[in-house]
Order: sequence, then C-alpha cells, then structure tokens
Amino acid sequence: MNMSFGSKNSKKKIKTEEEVQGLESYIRDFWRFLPLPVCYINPVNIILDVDEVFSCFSNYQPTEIIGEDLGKLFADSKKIEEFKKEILEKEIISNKELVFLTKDKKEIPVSISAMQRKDEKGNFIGYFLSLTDISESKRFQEKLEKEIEKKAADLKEKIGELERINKIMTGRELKMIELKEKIKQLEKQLKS
Amino acid sequence: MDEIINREIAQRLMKIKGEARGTHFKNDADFIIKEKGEDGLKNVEKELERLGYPIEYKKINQFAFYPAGLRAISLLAIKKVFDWPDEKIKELGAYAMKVSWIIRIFTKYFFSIEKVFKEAQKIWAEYFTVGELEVEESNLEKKYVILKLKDFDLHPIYCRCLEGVLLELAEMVLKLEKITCQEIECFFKGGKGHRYLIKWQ
Repeated sequence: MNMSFGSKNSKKKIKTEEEVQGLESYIRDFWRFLPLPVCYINPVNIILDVDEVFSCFSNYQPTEIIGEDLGKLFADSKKIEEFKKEILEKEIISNKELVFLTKDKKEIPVSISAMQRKDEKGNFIGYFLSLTDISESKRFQEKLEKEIEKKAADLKEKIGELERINKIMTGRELKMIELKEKIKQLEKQLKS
Repeated sequence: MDEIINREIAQRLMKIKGEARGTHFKNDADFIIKEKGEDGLKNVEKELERLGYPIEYKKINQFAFYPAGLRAISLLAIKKVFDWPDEKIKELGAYAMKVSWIIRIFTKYFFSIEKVFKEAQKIWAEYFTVGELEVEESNLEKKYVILKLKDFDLHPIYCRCLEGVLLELAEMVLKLEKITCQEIECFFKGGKGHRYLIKWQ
C-alpha cells in the first residue's frame, strides 16, 4: 500500500491507533502462546473466538466453528446443558469432566474450566472456556483400577486359601484334642 | 459486457468521501488465501496495480484508515480476478466478521440480536468514518429486523458484502439454522438509501 493512500489522521488519532495495534499484537501473541485450547463463548453459548490450539485440538478451522453452538463440541448434551446453567451462576468453574467431540467425531475426555466475563455494569456478557486433555490420566486411572481389581481378586483368592487351610488345621487340631481325650479315657479305663 | 472495474471506475470510486479501516483489506486477504492461496492474492495485487491503486495486503495496518473507495476497488478486483458471483462476496463479508479483530472489541454486545443491532452504529463507526447504520424497525415476535444505512453509497458490490456482514452478526447471537439477510432497498437501484432485512425462523 502506498503511503499516499494512508489517512491524514491527527497525531492523537495515530497515537491511539498505535496503542490499539500494540494491544492487539499483545493479545494475539498471548493467544498464540497459550498452550491450552481456549475459546470465548457468548451468553447464548455461541462460540465467538478460538485460539490456534483449540483449532488443532478440535480439527475445526476457526471460521468453521466460530458462530456455532458450544453443544456441538461435546458428546453428552445433558452434561453440557448443566454446565451452561452452572456458568450463569458461578464466576469460575474448574476441572469439570466432559467428553469432547472433534470434527471427525473422535471422543476425547477433557477437563474444562471456565471464567465469566462481565460488563462495566456487572452484566454477564460471556465466558472463556479452556480444555485439558485428560485421556492419558484417564487411561492411567483405568489401568490402575484394573490392577487394583486384579490384586484384590488375587488377595481374595489367597484369603480363601488361607481360610481353607485354617479350616483344615482347626479340624485337625480338634481331632487331636478329641483323640487325646479318648487316650486319656482309655488310660483311665486301663488303670481301673 | 461492461467491465466491472477499470481505471476510470477506480478513479471515480477514489473520489468517494470517507475512510475505511485497514481491517477490511486484511480480511479480504485472509479470505483470498483461504480460497485461492497465496498465488490468488498475488493475482489480485497485480490487478490492483493495473488499476493504478496498488494494495500490498500484508503491509496494511488493520487499525489505520484508508480511502473508502479503496474498499470497493479491492472487492471489485477480487470479483474480477476470480469471476466470483455475488454470493461469494457475501460469503467474504460473513467471513470477515469471524476473523476481524475489531469485532472482538464488541463481544460484550453479542448476547442478543436486539443488543447487537442497537449498537450497530458503534460497530459501523469502527469500520468507516462515514455513513450511519441503525435499526429502522425491529419485531422480535415476527422475527425480523430492518437496518438502514444512511449517507454512504459506495458501490453495489459493497451492498452484497454488507449482506454477509449483517447475516454473520445475526448468526453470532441467534442459535437458528435459517437466518437470511437481504438488501430490500438500494440507492443504486433507485432507492433513497440502503435497507437490509434480517429474518429468522
């Protein structure tokens, strides 16, 4: 663009433009830096903005998902409806577990956190929402649960075995006492 | 068939009073790259150079103001190079709303159709230094809003682009499948100004 096309703004206007541009650049860099999938949602649960990580995570291009209902991105519609109600009441929601749906319908367990935004009069104007992929920890948890289950079953089996041995031993002990008693009685009979 | 853009038309357009934010051109470039790649953008830049008003899209400062006529020239050059129908220009307008950084300043109004269009003039003023965009009629029961654009007659191609812009603004606050936006009165078709009907079901 030739400089001759540039507007003949006043110095003040140019200064404001530079400040806005600086702020925009800061926000853009910050969004780019965020290692988490983050989006901005309006009060009627329509997605208004997403960061690059969100776009990669969901497989949606920003322009495909901006303007869409948040519910489209989650497997359990009942849970997301509950979440939508909850964010109206709470300023911050942390670590709520839901199942995310990517563009190719892949289900990913996620932990979601959200923070309300309010205008200068305190009216609710939307919220930021971030996702954390908890697939790994879920897998680890499931593995751990299975191991615990297996160990508990092994232990149960061992306890059963011990109980059986104990029963046998106890039976043998009782038999011994009974026999000793019989011997005593026989000895008494012999003496008499 | 008449040329949709040539040097004379471009010169005429450049005489239009007012200025447009650089973000228009940034959004045009993003849309071209998405649809036609970097080569597509180069082709549009070459066309603009031929017209005598070169734009280096990537060097545009999206917060600075440029002559309003250049907004129409950019759209006309795009339409000419890719032979796009009006619908595609409308799509470009809608796309711009999704990617524009300026629109993020107004996210606080995006909670109802009434609020968004009530603040239409504030949003408009961030994009153009001329013209006024206001709600002329609104009936939420009958599900429509009529917006009026006053004192700004750029070019019919911008009327199509604005249809897309207004449609997208409505889609950002209405969770509905069927929303339409149509210009029902146009200065270039003998109207007094520009009126846009947004309807939803």
